[in-house]
Amino acid sequence: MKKLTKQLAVLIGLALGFAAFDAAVYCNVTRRYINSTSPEMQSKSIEVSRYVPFDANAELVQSDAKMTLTGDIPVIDGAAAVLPVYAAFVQAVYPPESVQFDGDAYAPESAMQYTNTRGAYQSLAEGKADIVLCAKPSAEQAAYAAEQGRELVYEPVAQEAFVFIVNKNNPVDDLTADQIRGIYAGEIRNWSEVGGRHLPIDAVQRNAGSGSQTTMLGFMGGTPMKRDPLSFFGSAIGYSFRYYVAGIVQNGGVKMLSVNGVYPDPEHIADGSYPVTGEVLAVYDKRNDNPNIPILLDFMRSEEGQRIIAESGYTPVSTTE
Amino acid sequence: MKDKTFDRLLTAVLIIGSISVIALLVYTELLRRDVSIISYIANGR
Repeated sequence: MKKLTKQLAVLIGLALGFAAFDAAVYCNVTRRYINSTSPEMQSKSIEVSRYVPFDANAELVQSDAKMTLTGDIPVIDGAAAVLPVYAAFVQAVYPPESVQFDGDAYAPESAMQYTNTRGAYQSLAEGKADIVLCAKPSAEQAAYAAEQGRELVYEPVAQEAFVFIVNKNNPVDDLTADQIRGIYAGEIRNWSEVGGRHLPIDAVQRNAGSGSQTTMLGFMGGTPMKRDPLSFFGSAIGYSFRYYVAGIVQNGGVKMLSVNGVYPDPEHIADGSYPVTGEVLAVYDKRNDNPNIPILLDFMRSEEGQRIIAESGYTPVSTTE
Repeated sequence: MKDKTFDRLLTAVLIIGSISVIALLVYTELLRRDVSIISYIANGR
């Protein structure tokens, strides 16, 4: 009987040990990596099907533009964060037959494309796209375009706040720009140093070549960014563009921080008081002689184009000049 | 319980437990590759 008790204790103890280990890994590691977005957004950064021009269910700003492009229709591409804007431009002035979407992706011959920032700059460099709407390119993307013989022109069409996000339960609501640089430089490592809980700061970064990563590198002004692997068990901070966080993803588990005491709402972006803004650029090759490119640019910067930008949730350039 | 039976049960628990650990680690790595920065922050603390 005593032997049986010991044997059962060993078996049950071992099983419980495995279960406890699995539970600990799940709660502390696995759960952190579960996407709360749809599979489409998970793979493409955005639910493309919500923003298809000329689709009756598209969530795009309607336009009463009186013109439609004819002839050589420019292929337009861009970043996830501005897809609602350039899809609305396409719907406003492109002929409907120039857009072909198969329910999952745009057809290769479609004048409307979505390949996100890295894909868009690559397409522009390789001559597959005529105009892209993105943040500034990374040094590598600009160099690749130059290697391909492109002379890129950058036309600002909107302003957008670059925002810093934390978990909604993080008690910190405001950081100074210098504190953020200190966090990403690895000089400030614990939230208690900036008024938060005694937890390591997990300073997460985006993929190289993404618009937000390139913008963040500019914000750091050449200071290298560091991430302590052990900070994984702390509380994270990240960055993105305001509308991507507040208008597209709308994940209630995160909140945007004020920077230098100013919250990134449209009013503070428009009046210039929010200190970290970036331009949404229309980028094209100076040598591209497609006559519709200047017409499209004029429309983007027109009163109607800027109204589309404002009603899409971004800040027009005209209000900040 | 006979020793042979105990050994079989012990082996079974070890195999099943090891498989569960490996499966969880593989699943975690697959999630890690695709997680968005916003979901990652939202799931944390």
